[in-house]
Amino acid sequence: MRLALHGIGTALPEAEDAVETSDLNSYFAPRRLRRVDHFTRMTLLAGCRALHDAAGTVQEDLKTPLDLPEDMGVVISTGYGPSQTIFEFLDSIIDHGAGCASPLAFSHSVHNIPAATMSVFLNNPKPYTTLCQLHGPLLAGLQTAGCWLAEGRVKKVLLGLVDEKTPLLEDNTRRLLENKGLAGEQIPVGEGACFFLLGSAEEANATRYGTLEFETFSPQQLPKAQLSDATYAPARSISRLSKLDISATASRQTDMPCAAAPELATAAMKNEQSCCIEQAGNNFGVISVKPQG
Amino acid sequence: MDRPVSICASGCICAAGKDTRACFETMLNGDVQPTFAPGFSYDQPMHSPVFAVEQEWLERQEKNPALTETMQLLFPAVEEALAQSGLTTERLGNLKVGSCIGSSTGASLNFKSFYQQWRKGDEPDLDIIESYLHSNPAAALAERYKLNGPVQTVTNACSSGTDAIGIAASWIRHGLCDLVIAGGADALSGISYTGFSRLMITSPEKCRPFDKDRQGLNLGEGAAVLILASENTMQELKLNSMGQVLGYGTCCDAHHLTAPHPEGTGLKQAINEALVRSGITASEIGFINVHGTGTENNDRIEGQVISKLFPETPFTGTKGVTGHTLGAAGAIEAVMTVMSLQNGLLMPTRGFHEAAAESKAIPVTEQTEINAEYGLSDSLAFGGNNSALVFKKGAV
Repeated sequence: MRLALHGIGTALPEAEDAVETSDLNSYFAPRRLRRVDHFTRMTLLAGCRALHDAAGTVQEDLKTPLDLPEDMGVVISTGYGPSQTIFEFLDSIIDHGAGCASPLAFSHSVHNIPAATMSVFLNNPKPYTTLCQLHGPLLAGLQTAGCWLAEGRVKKVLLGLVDEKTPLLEDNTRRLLENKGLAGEQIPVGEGACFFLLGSAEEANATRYGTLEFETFSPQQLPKAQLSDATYAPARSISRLSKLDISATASRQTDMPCAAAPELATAAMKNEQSCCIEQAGNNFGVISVKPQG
Repeated sequence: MDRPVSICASGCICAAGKDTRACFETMLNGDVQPTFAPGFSYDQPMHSPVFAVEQEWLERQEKNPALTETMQLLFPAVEEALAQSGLTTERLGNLKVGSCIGSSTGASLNFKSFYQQWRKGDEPDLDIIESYLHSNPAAALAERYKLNGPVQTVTNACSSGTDAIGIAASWIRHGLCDLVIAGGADALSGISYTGFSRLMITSPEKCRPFDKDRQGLNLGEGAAVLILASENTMQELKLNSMGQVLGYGTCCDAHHLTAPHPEGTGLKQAINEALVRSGITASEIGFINVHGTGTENNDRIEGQVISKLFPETPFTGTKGVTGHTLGAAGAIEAVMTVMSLQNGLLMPTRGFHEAAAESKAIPVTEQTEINAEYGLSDSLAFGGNNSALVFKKGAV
């Protein structure tokens, strides 16, 4: 499948820090944001930045209009979903008993609530879907976005990849690796959101970033695939790719299920032929970026 | 208009039965009473019976302790569909087969006792975490049957099963795979039971969809799948058709996180989209299998939309025998819509007795013979998500 890439927006941390989302206060009134959790704040911030990037505009204050494409669906893909809100609901059960557990925390812990919050904040009643999987979340999101565009279901898709880190996730990751004797190989757990505003390939000449093309390969097929010299992949995949004789670079040294998304953003922003590889189960998805012209 | 996609088999498990035929028969001729199954807190104000799959039957199934209960429901449903179609693992291995499964609790981090121990500073056993990591529904399905097509777990809350089938049909149309196992699965969970109870939308007795005295929903559990196939695959493998997926529509209300839009705008849009993509009008729909949870809000809004768009069309709801199975609901209802088309029979809406005075939405109350070419199944979800699927009788 081939898609036009109109805009990129990210909410990524410096090194291993948490994502700073205070810029969101210049997009939406703080009063509206008071119950919005961290996962959803990252979602909103990166999504809005992608819309500005596509429109060539900048958010200056609350009065800056956000250029919302006329007919835009939203696909959000995540590894774990809004984890911290789930733990907050569990906290409320443990601390106060099931009969006094927080209904608000429960409703915010449902996987598609970040997407729903975005629909309300953008006032955009269109198709929305949320995918949750540890393997191949970027490829899965691109597939659904591609189908929606090919069917004319929407004219644009805002595809977002989002994951948050929690103390429990960090601790579990450490223990799981220790149990497997791989403690020395741990890559710090990261978090962040990357959004891509996509359109049909026919619009490629009107975009800043050109086109994305994606395909799945088995490990045997991958070395024969047409890979660009500028190949990006998540840090955790580099050694496996190296065993297949493929040289790739990781732009970030942290790990999360959606780790391929910042690599794709880096590849696309190079403005030269490049690609991003995402491991999807036993296979590999290759997303090639071809700049305009 | 979207190209029709063939359905070659189905599998279904819920409180109404352990396979598609048994579920359909129960819905037509039987009834199921929800129970206060062990494992949940029924203290006031949380006092709502649930529609659980028979425990003894579950215990007789092949057990993989490394997988979650949701997967223990999904796999038998898939086995049923594969057996029905005659598709063996060897035959699947020669094809590009996708896995598209909707789930809600099945993809959630619902490990309370682990978390509680961890909060106290302990290092609890990681088995439950390993189990979660290996039980992402679509990925675990692909892993079990060595499927090599696209893999997606759709988590749109209560419309997940409907959305998974709609997305899977697109994969076939766009040549992403030859076959897709598509549907939904969710096991009962104490966490979601607590959450729905605290939202005060559960019923203290058996749910009563569309009834004037409805008090809320009962949670349930189950799994259902349809196997969708490309036309080439249908012919090459000489697969039998049990119906077709036509149009799919989905639209978010953009209104409220837990309440439907008061005018049902997203639901109307989703249904209209599904009809346009099917190339048919509302009057051609022979019947509707509705979402019908039995909550005040859902049934009022859904009833308004249905009676406005389909004033003469019979409709039924099945949650009075399945409970609300969340991510599996849309898939179970899709399978039952296909069965109704195939058999020319519509099931009564168990739990419904009398409509509210102002309501025009009166569901079918008796087993009804129908001669329908097209059936519609719709779902409403948390987050204001609305989705609809149109099915057609017979082969493409």
